[in-house]
Order: sequence, then structure tokens, then C-alpha cells
Amino acid sequence: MENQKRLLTKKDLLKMYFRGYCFQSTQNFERMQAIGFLSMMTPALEKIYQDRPKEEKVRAMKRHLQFYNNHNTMNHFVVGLCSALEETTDEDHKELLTSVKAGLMGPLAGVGDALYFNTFYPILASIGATIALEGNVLGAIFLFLSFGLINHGSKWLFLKLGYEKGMDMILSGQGNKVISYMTTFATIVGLFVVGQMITSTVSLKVIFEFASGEGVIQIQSLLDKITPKLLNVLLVGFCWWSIKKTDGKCITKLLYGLMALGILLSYIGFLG
Amino acid sequence: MILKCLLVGIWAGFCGLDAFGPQFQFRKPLLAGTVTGLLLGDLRTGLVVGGTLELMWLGVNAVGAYTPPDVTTGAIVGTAIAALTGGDVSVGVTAAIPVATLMQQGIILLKTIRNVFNGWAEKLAEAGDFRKLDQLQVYGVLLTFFMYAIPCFVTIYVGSAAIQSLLDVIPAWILTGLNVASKMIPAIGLGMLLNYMLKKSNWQYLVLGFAFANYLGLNLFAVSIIAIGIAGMHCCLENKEAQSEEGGLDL
Repeated sequence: MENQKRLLTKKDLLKMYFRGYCFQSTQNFERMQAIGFLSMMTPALEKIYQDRPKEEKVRAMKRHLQFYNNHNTMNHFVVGLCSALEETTDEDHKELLTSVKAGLMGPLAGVGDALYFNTFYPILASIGATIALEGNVLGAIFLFLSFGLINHGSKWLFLKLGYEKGMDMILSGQGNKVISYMTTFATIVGLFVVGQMITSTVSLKVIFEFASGEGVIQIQSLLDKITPKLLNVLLVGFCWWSIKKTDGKCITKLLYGLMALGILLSYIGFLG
Repeated sequence: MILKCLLVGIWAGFCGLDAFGPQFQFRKPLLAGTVTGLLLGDLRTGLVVGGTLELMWLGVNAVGAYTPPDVTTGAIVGTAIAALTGGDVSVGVTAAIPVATLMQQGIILLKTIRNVFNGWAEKLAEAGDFRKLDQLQVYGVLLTFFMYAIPCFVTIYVGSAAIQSLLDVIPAWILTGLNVASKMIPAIGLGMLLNYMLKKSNWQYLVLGFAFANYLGLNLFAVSIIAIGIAGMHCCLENKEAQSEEGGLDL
């Protein structure tokens, strides 16, 4: 009975899983994995937006072209959940998607790195490498099969889980209220995450210093006395402000501007 | 010889795709090196150099926006040079380290070039056709493939000494500058996210996230956990108010 309500079939999810094979091939500094995310969502979006007007499709695409950076494996959960949300929310509640993505990418990336890169892989790789050092090819085969199975088993499971559990939760009755609280919840977590990322993903260091009397004055330590990461805040603040003022039209200019600025300031020995 | 180098180059391309895609982890030293050895007809050297580098670089991972030394090209070139010069492990390891460090710059360059896809994607989105975006993924795949294949092929073919002299010609300030710029560019993405999420009523959470990270030195995961707690509190309180007014949600 519940299955009748669900638009996406196992085949659609499978298509999305295989699209994950190119997930990061357009990953870049400006928006990280945004294009890859939209590309993974394509089978779901095509089905969900089949009979909707063009403007909604355009909005859906632009929505998923926002900055997104997650762990390669854990991302599958977000793709599944976002498919469920796209399917069940109406046009007025779509901002939920952006918040959910921003809120989930922080914790999931942390868990993913800890679990897959720092636990499963090192254990399996050190076993495999030890066998390989004796010149035994089984070491390499062991690593490939064991990690491949764990990693890709998880991916498929996460994708399915995200979609099915997401649908269950939303269809459980008080759908609109669940969505409204999820939006609030996700936005708060998302803002915390962005606040943290201002200090970690962006990095600026002034190396310029000048002699004054007997000592040397380092600009960076002067700035740090006001507050550490002051320049990060100013830079992100400036980007946010100019995107808001121009309604997003200045992004390309910002990108080339920052690149030129970075190279120039590093050339004259101001930033390093 | 050129055929073998070509084969290894193609293998390097696929390893690059693995790194940015399925992550079967044949881009890691053990598997990348083993197959390189196999292609050059010296499986044993592949296993030993690959295994050595694997253990050496076990902790090298891309976390967040950080781009680590590229162990993939390091392992492939290291193994190939060891296999072609008689199978000495130390030769392989010595060749692998500078290649990995250099390719770290190459990957930064790759992720910088890929910035052009964003504006392009926005333009494609105007058509409202989801499939149109797929071409970008294809270009991304091709770009990644050659970004790994060509350096590996050239390095193995001409030898690493020639690469070093070529590198001396490139002024260092370009590489440093690119590095500095690449750490500033994520600010645009964050600015865009804020543009969507930040409202007059919720700025305090952004401030808190920043404060926890900046003054208490908490990492992203720790901040997220705190955020989940506070967001839960916010929702509970809001729900309590709603309940007394109009009957809220049973949480």
C-alpha cells in the first residue's frame, strides 16, 4: 500500500547509485561537489518534475547547484533523503532541501572520514600491504574485495535507507509539521556548520611584516589580537554581501577576482 | 617501451577517476602499484613498492577542502621507475615522494580549473533540462583522466630527472599564488549558502558555530553535535508554544 505512494523504484535508485561513480569528477574549490550532487539526483528529479512547469525545473536545478561537500560514501544517504523530500514537498517548502544538505554534510562527512578512511581502510590496507610485501598478490586482491564490498555495500544501503526512511517519516501523518520542524532544525544545524567552516575551509594568512624600531611587527599577530580568523569572516562576509546585493550575478566575477587577488597578494609577499 | 608507458598512463587515468568517483580505492598505493607492476611485467616489484608506500602513506587522506599529497601518481610513478630500473624498492620510494608532492599542486590546479563548470552549470540550468547537465560530468571525467594520465606517462617516459628540470622553469610564485587563492575561493560557496539560509531571526546560530570553532577549537563534527542539541532544544521550545496555542506536534 505504501509503495503506491512512492514514485521512485529500485531501478531509479540503482541509476542514482551508478551516477555516484562520477560523483566528484567536477569537484572544485568554489562549490565542491555541487554538480556531482545534482547529477546523482537527476533520475529522481526527472521523474518527480515530469509534469511540472519549466520554471520549477530550473529552480530545482539551481537549488542543487549550491555549495555541497560531503564524504563520498555518506553522501548517498543525503541523495536518498533529498529525493524523498523533493518528492513530498511543495514549491513553497523547497528551502528545506538547502538546509538539510547544509546541516547533514558536516556530521556525515565527519562520521564518514572516521569510519571509512580512518578505520576500515587502514585496517584492511595494513593487512593487505603486509601480505603484499611478501610478494603475494592475494594481499592486493584481499584489500580490493574487502574494502570494495564494505564501501559499496554501504553506499547502496545508505541510498535506499535515506529514500525509504525519509518517505516513511514524511508520510507518517503530520507531514507538513514534520517538514516545518525539519526546516528549522536543519537550518540551525546548517548555520552552525557554516560558522565552523568559515574557520576551516577558508584559510588566509598575512605573512607581511615590517621592522619597527628594534622589533618586527607581524600584521597577522596584530589581527589575531583582535580575533583569530578575522580575515576569514571579512572575506565570507564580503562574498555573502555581494551575492545578496547582486542577486547572485557576481559569482563568476568574484571567482576570478579572488583568484587574481590571491595570486597578486601572494606575489607581493602579503599573503602566504 | 612507449607502449608500456602508455598503458601505465591509461591506468593512472583510471586511478584518477577512482579517486573522484567510486573509490574502490585502487587509486591507493597498494592496488595502483600492483597493477602498474603487472602492466610492466614485474608483479613482484609492484606488490613490494605498492605495499611499502601503502604503509608509509596510510594516514594521508583528503579531509574537507584539504588537498593532500597525491599518493596515486606517487605510487604509480614510483613503482614504474623501480620496475624499469631493476626492481629496487628504495628507488621506487625515492621517486614516489617528489611526484606525490608535485601532483598535490596538480590536483589543486585541477580543482581550480573545474571552477569554470559552476558558471556553465548555472547557464545549463536555465533550460530546465536535467539531462543537459550530464555533459559537464563527462567533461569532468575526461579532464580528470588526462590530468592523471599525461603527467604519469610523461614522467615515466622521460624519467623523473627531466621533469625536475622542467619544473625549475615554472616560476614558484605561480604555484604559491594558486595555492593561496584556492584557500580563499571556498568563501564564495559559503557566501552562497548563507544567502539562502541566513535570516534576520537566526543569525545567532551562525555566530555560535563560528565561536565554538574559533575560540574553543572544535572541529566540524564536534560543532555539528552541539548544533544538533541546540536545534533540538529550539524545536522543542517552539513546539511547546505551539502546543499551548493550537496543538503542536507530539515529539
